[in-house]
Amino acid sequence: MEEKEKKLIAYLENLPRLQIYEDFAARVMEEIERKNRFILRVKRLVVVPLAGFFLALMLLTNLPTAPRFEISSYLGYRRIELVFYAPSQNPKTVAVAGDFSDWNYLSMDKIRENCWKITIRLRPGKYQYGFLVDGKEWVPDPNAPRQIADGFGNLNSVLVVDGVDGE
Amino acid sequence: MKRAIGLLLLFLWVTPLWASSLASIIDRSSYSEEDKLYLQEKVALYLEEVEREGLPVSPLLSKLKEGIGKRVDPSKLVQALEKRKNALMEAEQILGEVGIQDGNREKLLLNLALSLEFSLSPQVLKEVVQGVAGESNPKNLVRVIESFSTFMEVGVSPEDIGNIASQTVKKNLRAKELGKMASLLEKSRRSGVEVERTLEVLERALEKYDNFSLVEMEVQRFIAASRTKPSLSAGQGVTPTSAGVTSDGTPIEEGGTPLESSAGTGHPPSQEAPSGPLE
Repeated sequence: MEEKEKKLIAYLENLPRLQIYEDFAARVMEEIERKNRFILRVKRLVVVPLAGFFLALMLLTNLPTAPRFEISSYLGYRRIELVFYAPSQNPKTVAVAGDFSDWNYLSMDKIRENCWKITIRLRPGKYQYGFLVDGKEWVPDPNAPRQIADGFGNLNSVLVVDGVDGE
Repeated sequence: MKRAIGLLLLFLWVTPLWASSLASIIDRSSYSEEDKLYLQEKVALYLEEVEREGLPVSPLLSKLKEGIGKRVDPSKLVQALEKRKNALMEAEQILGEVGIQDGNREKLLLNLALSLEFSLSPQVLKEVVQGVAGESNPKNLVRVIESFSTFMEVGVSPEDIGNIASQTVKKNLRAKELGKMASLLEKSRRSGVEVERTLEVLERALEKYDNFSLVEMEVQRFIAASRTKPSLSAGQGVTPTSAGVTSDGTPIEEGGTPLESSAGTGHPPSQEAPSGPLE
C-alpha cells in the first residue's frame, strides 16, 4: 500500500463518529414531502390560472401571444398583401383572382371604407391577376405598374414576386 | 378482377390525362348546357392538337379557367384559346428551326408563345433567338425573351419591341442589357413618365452610344428630369381621388386616365410601388 493511501485511511478513521437518530430517514422524507406540497400548491394557485389566462388570450384575442412559425418562408413562399382602393364606387364585395388561384376568386377583407385587402402566399415568379367588384365587374389593379391584355378585351395586372415579403 | 384492372388501364391509356380535368373545369362553369358542349368540343380539339405536337397543355387549360372565371362569352374564349394554341405551335417552330434543345426549352417556349400572342413579329423573335442562342449560358435566352414580356407589360408597343429587338441583334447586346432596359422602362412608368417618351430617349441613346452604361445614364437622367412630382411609395396610401374605380365601374388610374387602352398604349400610373408585390 502506498503512503498516500495509508494517510487517507488514517484520516477517515480519525473522523468524529456521528450518531444517527432512529427517525432520521422519516424526518428527511417528511421535509421532502412538505416541500413537494408547497410546490404543488404554488402550481395550483399560480401556474394553472396563469396558463388558463394566456390560453384565453390566445384563443379570444389577436394579441401576439403565440410563437409564429413561418414554415411557408422555408418552403420558398412569400407573403404578399394585395390592396384594392375603390374611392367612389363603394362596392359591397371585392374578390381577387389570378393564375395563382387557378382563377378562382378569393374574397378580400374590408379594412376600412372603400379599402379591401388580402394576404396571399406565393412563390417567387410572375402572376396575372385582377379584382372582381360586387361579383360582376372585372377591374385590373389601378396601381399595378405592369398590365397586359387578357385576350378577352380587358386587362390583367401583372404581379412579380421577387423573393421579398411585402405589400 | 384482372379484367377490370385491364379495362381500367386500357381506359387510362386511351383517355388523355387532361380529359377529366377539362370536363370538370367546364362542368363547374356557369355556362348553359349548350355552351358547355360547344366549349368541350372545341377545347378538346385544341388540346389534342397541342398534345400531338408534344407541347404542354397547361397554358390552354389556364386560359380556359381564366375565361370561365371571368364569364367570358364562349366564342371569345374559343378565339383566345385558338390564338394561344397557334402561338405555342409557332414558338415551337421557331425553336425547332433554331435548334434549341436545352433544359430551359419549355420556359422559353412559353415566353416566346406569350410574345407571339401579343403580336410580336415571329421573324424578329427568330432573329433574336438565333442571335442569343450561341451564348454560353442558355438561361440568357430565357432572360432575353422574358425582357420582351416585361416591355409589353410596361406598355411598349409590339412595333417598338421589334425595334429594340433589332437593336439587340445589331449591337450584339446581351440579356443583362435587355434586362436593364426593361427595368428602366418599368421605372419610368412607376415615376409617372410616359413610357413612349422614355423609349424615344432610349432608342436615341442606343444609336448614339456604343457603351451601354452611357445609354443607361442618359435614360436615368431623363426619367429624373421628367418626374413631375414626388412619387408615393407603397404603404403611404392613395388619396381618395386618385386610383380606383369610377362610379360606373370603369377602372381609372391616378389623374383619371382611363385604363381602357391596350397593353401597348397603357398610360403609366404615377404611384410608386415595390418591384414585385403591389399595393
